[in-house]
Amino acid sequence: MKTNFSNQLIDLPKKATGRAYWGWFTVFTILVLFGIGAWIYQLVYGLGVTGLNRPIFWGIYITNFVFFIGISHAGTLISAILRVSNAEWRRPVTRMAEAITVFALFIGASMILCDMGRPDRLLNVFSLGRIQSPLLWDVISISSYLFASIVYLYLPLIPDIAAMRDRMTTRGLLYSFYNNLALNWRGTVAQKTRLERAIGASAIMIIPLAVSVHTVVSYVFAMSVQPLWHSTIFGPYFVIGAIYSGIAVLLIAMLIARKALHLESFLKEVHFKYLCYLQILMFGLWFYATFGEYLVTGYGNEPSEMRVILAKIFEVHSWGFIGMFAVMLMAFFILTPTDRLVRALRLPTMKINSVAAFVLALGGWAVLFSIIYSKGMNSAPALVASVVYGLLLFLVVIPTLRKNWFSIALYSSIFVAMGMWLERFTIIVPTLARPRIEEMIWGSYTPSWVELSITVAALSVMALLFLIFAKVFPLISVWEVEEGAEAIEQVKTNMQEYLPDENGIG
Amino acid sequence: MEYNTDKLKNMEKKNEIIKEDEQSAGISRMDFLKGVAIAALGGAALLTTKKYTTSPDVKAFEGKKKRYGMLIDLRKCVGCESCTIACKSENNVTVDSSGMNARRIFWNHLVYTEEGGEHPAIHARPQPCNHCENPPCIKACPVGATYEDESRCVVLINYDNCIGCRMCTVYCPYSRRYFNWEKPHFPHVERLDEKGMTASAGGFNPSVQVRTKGVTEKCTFCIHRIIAAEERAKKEWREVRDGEIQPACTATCIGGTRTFGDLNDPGSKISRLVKENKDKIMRLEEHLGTEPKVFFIKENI
Repeated sequence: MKTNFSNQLIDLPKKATGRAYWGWFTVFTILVLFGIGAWIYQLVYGLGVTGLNRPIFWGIYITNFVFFIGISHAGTLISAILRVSNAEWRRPVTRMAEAITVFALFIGASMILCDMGRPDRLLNVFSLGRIQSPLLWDVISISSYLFASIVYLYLPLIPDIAAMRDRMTTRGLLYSFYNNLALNWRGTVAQKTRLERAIGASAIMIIPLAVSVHTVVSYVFAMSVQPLWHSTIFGPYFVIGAIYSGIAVLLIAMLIARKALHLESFLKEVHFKYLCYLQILMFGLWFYATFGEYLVTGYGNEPSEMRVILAKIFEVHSWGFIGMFAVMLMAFFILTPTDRLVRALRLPTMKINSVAAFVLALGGWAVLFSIIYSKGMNSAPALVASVVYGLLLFLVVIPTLRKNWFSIALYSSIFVAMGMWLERFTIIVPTLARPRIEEMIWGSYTPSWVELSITVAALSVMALLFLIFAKVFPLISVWEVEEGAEAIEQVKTNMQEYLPDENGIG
Repeated sequence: MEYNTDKLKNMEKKNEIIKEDEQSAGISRMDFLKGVAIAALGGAALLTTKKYTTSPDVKAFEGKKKRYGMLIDLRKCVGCESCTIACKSENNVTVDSSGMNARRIFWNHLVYTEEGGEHPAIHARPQPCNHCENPPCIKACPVGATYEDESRCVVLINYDNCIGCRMCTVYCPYSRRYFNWEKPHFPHVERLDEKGMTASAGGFNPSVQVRTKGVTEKCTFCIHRIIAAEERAKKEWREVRDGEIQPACTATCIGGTRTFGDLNDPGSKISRLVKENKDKIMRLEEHLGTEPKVFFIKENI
């Protein structure tokens, strides 16, 4: 039985066109080309064109690497966990989540290529690889995760590809493309059983694999003896952060797709609401890990570790650390019903344009930070600015941004994505800037235009791949949504099984 | 200009001809490098966690296992930086990579600490690579480009395998490893070339490989000098004498601050000095368990 929306969904790729689509396509392509140009410039002149130096040997390339590999957890982990736990609302979400995973993994891995001094010797990693090095664990773990998530994206795509093939009128090159990818799918019962078994099995197998990936990424840092890297919490800490930023990027992608392809009747408020609930949980876990990490090391007061902590809070890269806390707390206030608290206190609130509120929150923060940084925490201007900023935030910005679950999802996700990037930056750079040997020249690091344009290009590749994907395949898993619609009766009988009987006790 | 390929090869050839006149047998530098490459390739192919044994001439040189170390007597150091200069010219270290202070390469880096108060003072401390016995850098290298020369206990780098990922630079707790951010720059060689002279007229030390951009480098304890001394000893059918091997920094030091020698040999000068000054000896970050082999005699005791 084909429900009435099926054909609409199958035709989604045809909707991904028009002036806006090609406009964005061109913009992102130009940004990517510029990034490639910057990379070639770096290849010719060496890593000297970056802001890296000694002892800050790693900068925003490695930050991006950790960030993008983190985003890749959005996807597969979320969709796998939701599939395994049989959460029915997952159905329109999974496809996009899985796609993001594959794209982010490609970009994350290519960031390592940008960071290498001799990318021409990349294959040495395979021919001379040494399993003792944490970097090789990364190579193994990320490449298996990449393979697994491509399979995991592809398996649920097969019925949709077949449906696209069936709706094609011409028998051209495109037909054979879909026909080959559909692997002779006819939708028979045997095929369906097999597919569901395969999806189920890979969903279960991919969860430990995804956890291992970001654990191993954290081990690249944690296996060293450098202050604040050499920490047992790093594995779980990185995995939590990965899922947190992953869902944030997924939410942003969902909102864009919903708006651009008019998917209002599929991606409903409830999907964003549930994912935002998940985000509140992830914030709690993230905050718990961060709090534990800094309290334990700060309380211990070990000199080399204290140097790094103080550098994070007060010295040259403090914008990263304090900025991370600021945006993360803003995300938390947006996610949780802070506006109700404000109303319960009978404080006057005001609603303005939400984009203006977003800009106000970030711009106000920048002003406040620069005042505190230049005048000191206890100075009069800093105190006045903090009070003004706090009032603005709670009386204007947050009530505005908490309009509905869509705006909550959008703005909290932007803040979370920013915060997680900054977290990776403050993990990597300050530790390197304050090495153990005190007399070393203490380093500072400012990314150069090459690094920034490659970073922008990496984000653009993400957007570009998403655009291309939307043009080739439906962004919503059609057969799964159909199945969901058909499953209502099934769910009823299922629930009947465990609901209490009518006669009760006795 | 390409220094590290053709010109250097020519220089090596010339050098070998001279060497062949002097000695009919023995291990040349090329053989050493070949040995290194073969050992690294073979070892890596096995993908074992075993440390890299290169020991190219372990069969030829059947002496006892050496454990070279260095003692720096800070009481004698005047901070003249001649060791820094000697090291730079001995090892073909790039002169200035980019004008950024934090990117300069000093295999032997003198760090100064200022002491305020009533009697202000400046203390100098030379910092070569510690050649740890338990080096974190070797564990980190994904391709085995950095390895331990087990017959001598010296940590070396195979510049031809290094992929420039900077794991080792980040893992070294002493920040003793350097990265070639840009193409190495040798103004003195350029000047020679301008005058129409070839680089082999004295621009480079022919027994040290010139690095390319994008690879890591660090102090080698002047491994070429160690090998040369061992060859000489072997030719004369004797053991290497204590004090015969002198890295460039040790040879040039005006105050006799540095002592280089075999820590395995209880009779060597370095072993005796380490024993005698037991209470004044320190090593950097000993609590990390890296077992550095550069010892310092403290200044203020």
